Amino acid sequence: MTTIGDEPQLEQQPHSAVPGLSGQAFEVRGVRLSVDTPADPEEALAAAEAVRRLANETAPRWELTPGTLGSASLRARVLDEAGALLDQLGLVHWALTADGDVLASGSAHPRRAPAADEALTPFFGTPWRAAVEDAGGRPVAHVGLAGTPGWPAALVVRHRGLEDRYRMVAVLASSAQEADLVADLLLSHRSWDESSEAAVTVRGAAALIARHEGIMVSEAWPQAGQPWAPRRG
Amino acid sequence: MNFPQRLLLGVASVGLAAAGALGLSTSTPSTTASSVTPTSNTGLGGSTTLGSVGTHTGVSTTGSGWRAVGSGTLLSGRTAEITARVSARSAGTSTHLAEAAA
Repeated sequence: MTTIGDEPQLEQQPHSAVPGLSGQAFEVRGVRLSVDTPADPEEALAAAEAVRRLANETAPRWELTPGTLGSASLRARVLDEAGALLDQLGLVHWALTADGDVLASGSAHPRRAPAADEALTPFFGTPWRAAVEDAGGRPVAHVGLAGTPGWPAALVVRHRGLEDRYRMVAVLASSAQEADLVADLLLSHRSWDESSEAAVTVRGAAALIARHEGIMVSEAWPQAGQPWAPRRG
Repeated sequence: MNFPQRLLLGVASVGLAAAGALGLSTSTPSTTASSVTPTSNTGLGGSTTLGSVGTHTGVSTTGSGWRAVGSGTLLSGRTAEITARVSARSAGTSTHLAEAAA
């Protein structure tokens, strides 16, 4: 990455190893951001530039809120605002990450858009395939993120504790901020019961908890590789 | 800010119209028959062993609304396009909500 003044400049370099995806990764105020899209490289670069500018221009506002820019809740806010921006720009298919948090819409492998004389039908293709990794980089789960414009799908992973008290939670929700909130709620519990599962469900979220005793999932957590879609309405 | 013209064309209207029609299922089957080695070690938290909760079919109910699943039952074997992971910078949670709850 080259820099001119204080502004890091984007380079057209593949961020994803998946064929057909164009992606850029960059850092803003210590937060590692990435934008992946099946759009052509020029559009992908424009999208990444829009996200980078959004992050840079709004960073001073974030820094006035409690915590630091690198905190989990503020990373989630970056993702949600960036996702809304890409929707406004008319991008349908994108996946954003911010220090490991994910927000996605559309598909990495979209079907073609209908022609002008065709009926408007869904053309989103297969949902984004996301992996949940533990702190050691080992995959714990695979899940599809079936977000659509205006209803993106978020996936965040948090952990706390060591050894016998170690627990990791992964949360699927309709926004990164909602996922972050649910993850924090779950991490603050010392045990998980009906009320904690209900707290996940009532928010339209799904959660996975990995701890010493094993892995538990909430009712809405999809089976291996199956898609999860945010609740609408 | 200059964007390619295609980026600004009418994709949004098509996408929004299609969004309401997509209707992907979010339900999950209540049973599974995955054969899982119940003691595979994922290495979480050092040398802990995961997947020992539940049954040899990989899934069991906990009576609390949560389902215990065997390690590996949630892995599809397909290559992921994106990865969610714990940020090295924020090991442990750092939001004000968690701090207030602690």
